[in-house]
Amino acid sequence: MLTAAASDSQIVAACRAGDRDAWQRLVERFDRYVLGIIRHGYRVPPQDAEDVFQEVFIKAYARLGDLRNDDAIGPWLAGITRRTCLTRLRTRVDEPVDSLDEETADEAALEQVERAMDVDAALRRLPEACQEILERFFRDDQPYAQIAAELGLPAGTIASRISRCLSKLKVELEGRQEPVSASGHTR
Amino acid sequence: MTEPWSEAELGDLLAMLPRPPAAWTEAAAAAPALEMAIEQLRLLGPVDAELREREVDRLEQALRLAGVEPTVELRTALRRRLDVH
Repeated sequence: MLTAAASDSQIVAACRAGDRDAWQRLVERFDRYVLGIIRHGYRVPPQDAEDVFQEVFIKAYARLGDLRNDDAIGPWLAGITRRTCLTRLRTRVDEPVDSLDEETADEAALEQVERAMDVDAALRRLPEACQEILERFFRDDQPYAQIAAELGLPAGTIASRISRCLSKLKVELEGRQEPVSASGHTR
Repeated sequence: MTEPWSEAELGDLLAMLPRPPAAWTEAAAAAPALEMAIEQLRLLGPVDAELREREVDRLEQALRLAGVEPTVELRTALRRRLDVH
C-alpha cells in the first residue's frame, strides 16, 4: 500500500506491478503538470486539450515498460506531452505544417510550469490544513467568506492563515539543500 | 544559487496549475481498465451492424468485465480509445 508521501519511483514500481491504485496516484500526481505543459507551454486550443491530455496518459501507460529510470517519470511524461502537443498542433488545418517544431514551445512558460511543480511538491509536504486553505484561495479562487464558512473558521482569520501557510511553503521550498522539482529536475 | 521565493510569486505559481476537470483525471486514471475493456470487446467478437446498435451495452459490459463502473466519462474515454485502435 502506497502512502501519501510515496516517491515517484515507488509509485512507478507499483504501477509496473499492476497496482491500479498506484496508476491513479500517478495520474493525480502529474495531471496538473501535463495540463500545464499543454496549456502554457504549447497553448493547445481548449477544444483539443482534453484529447491531448488523455492521449498522454494512454501512451504513458502503454510505454511504462520503456522507462529506464523510475525517478525520471516527470521528465519522461513531459517528453511524451511535448511530442503529443506538437503532433496535435500539426494536424490542425489552420496551422502550416512546416512552421511547427520544438521552437513552437514557449520555453519561458515551460520553465514556469516546472517552478509551479516545485511549489506543488512542497505544498504536498505541508500540513493538510495549509494545503486546503492555499488550494481553495489560489487554485479554486474562493473568497475569504466562503473559505471561512466551509472550513468553519472565523472570517477575520483567513488572510492571516493564508499568509502563515505561504510562509511555511516558502520555508519548505528554501529549506531544501538541493531543490529538485517534482518533475525530477534540479533547479 | 536559487532566487528566493516571494509570496506573490508563490501565489501566482499555485494558481498556474489548477486541477484538471475531475472527469479528465478519472478517465486517465482508468487507462488500465480501458485496456482491459478493449481486450474484452475483442473477445466479445467483431462489431457488426446489429451489434453497433447495442454499442452502449457492449461498452458497459466491457467496462464491467474490466472491473469498473461504466460512467458516461469512461464510456466516452473507451469510445475514444476504440477510435484510435
